Amino acid sequence: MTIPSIALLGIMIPILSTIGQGIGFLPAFIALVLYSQLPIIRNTYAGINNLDPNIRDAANGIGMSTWQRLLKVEIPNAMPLIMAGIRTATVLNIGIGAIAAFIGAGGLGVLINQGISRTNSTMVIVGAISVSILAIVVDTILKMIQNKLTPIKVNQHKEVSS
Amino acid sequence: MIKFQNVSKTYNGNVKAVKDVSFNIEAGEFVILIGPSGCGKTSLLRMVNQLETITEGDIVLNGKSVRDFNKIEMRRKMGYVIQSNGLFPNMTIEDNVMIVPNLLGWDKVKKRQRYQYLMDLIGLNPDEYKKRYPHQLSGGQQQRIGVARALAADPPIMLMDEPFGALDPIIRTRLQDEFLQIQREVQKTILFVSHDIDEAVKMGDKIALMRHGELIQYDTPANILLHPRHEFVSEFVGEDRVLKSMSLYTVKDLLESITLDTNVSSTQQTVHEQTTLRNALSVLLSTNSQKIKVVDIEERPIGTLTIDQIEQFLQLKAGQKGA
Repeated sequence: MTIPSIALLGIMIPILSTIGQGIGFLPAFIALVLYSQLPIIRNTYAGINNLDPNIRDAANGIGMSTWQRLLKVEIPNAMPLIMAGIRTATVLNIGIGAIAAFIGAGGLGVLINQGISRTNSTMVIVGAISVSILAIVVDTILKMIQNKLTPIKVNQHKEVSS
Repeated sequence: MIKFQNVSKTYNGNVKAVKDVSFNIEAGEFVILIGPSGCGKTSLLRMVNQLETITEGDIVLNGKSVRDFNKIEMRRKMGYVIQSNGLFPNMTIEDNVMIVPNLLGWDKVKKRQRYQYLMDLIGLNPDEYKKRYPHQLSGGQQQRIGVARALAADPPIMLMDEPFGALDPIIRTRLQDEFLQIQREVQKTILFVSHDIDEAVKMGDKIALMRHGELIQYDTPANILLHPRHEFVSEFVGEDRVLKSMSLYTVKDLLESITLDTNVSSTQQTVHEQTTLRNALSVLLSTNSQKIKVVDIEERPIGTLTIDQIEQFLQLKAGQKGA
């Protein structure tokens, strides 16, 4: 993620040219996959790693196998963080996807690209706003999915009395 | 049922957490492992279900070394309760309680009956809590659920690591009483880690007192209190050990060896024969009179009790070894 996206797309042109795919869909696709790895993997790792050690201890102590612990306890409890990673990656990719228009991958980025070269500011604004709306809508949908997957509301009030 | 044979635990090659501990636990016994922080009591407990490996020696379960069992299967046959309850936040109360039966693949009807039974046992309404999540419950309720989860598959052995340690004193006392009641019904073999001598005296059939990884004394609560075998034991149980030992006996126990004066008057303060001697003494000290009236369950007077008689009884108990 530390490599600027425009540079990564540039680097891939000579490499992928060897198979005749230097520009277009394939390099854009590869770049998007690479960029989505970091937030997703890092958040998944952090989510599982941050699980209360007592809960892991209890899972072991009652006789769960490593897989059962992962599937029934660790992943469900890490879900909010995993989903946060997926949302970050998605929004990030929509932004990078717009830049991919520079290597001929098409998409909404084309409007911005052409708008700049034609100094047509309306076209640039239409492109930019469309990309923003897409990002917001997709993020909202993913948030709804996240809420479905995690029934526990962390800030819910604790009910008193024993 | 559980035999500890010269068990030692060494961490990182040189930290000796448990040193050469040997003792036996019989089926149905409630054994308390107690000692100051870092005495190795939790390590010892965790070696039983193999959450920790045994460095030297062996723990034998019904004639078979715990090392020879399949860890996963063995743990499902041992209830495990920890201080911070360890309930799974992503699961409902029903799923939490039924986790071991689920792992074992019980059928639906059996699971439903077991859930109802367990919730009744711990005194929580089965339907009311079924769909709730652990964070919606108070600390005391969560710990009850922790106990129910451990009992779910009816394991013969329960391992409990300071299960009531994080609760406030009132709730702790209530849960201790409830758990003793439950134990009377389910009759498990229990290994229970505690750092509270009052809890140990109240709950345990036997107490294993540890220090620096060594087992100092393994004995009945009465013997730990009245016949400490080591300076550290008397130090650990405290100078009020005689007072503590009085919670072990009821007025009824005293009646077996001491005859009361049957001359009772109606004005005297009354105690039931099931009252502990400690409470009876407290009542005696708080009244102006030298005597209190003892009555049986049906409120029929039995006789009058004096401080001297309690003293006499305690001397008698201190005199006999292995009370």
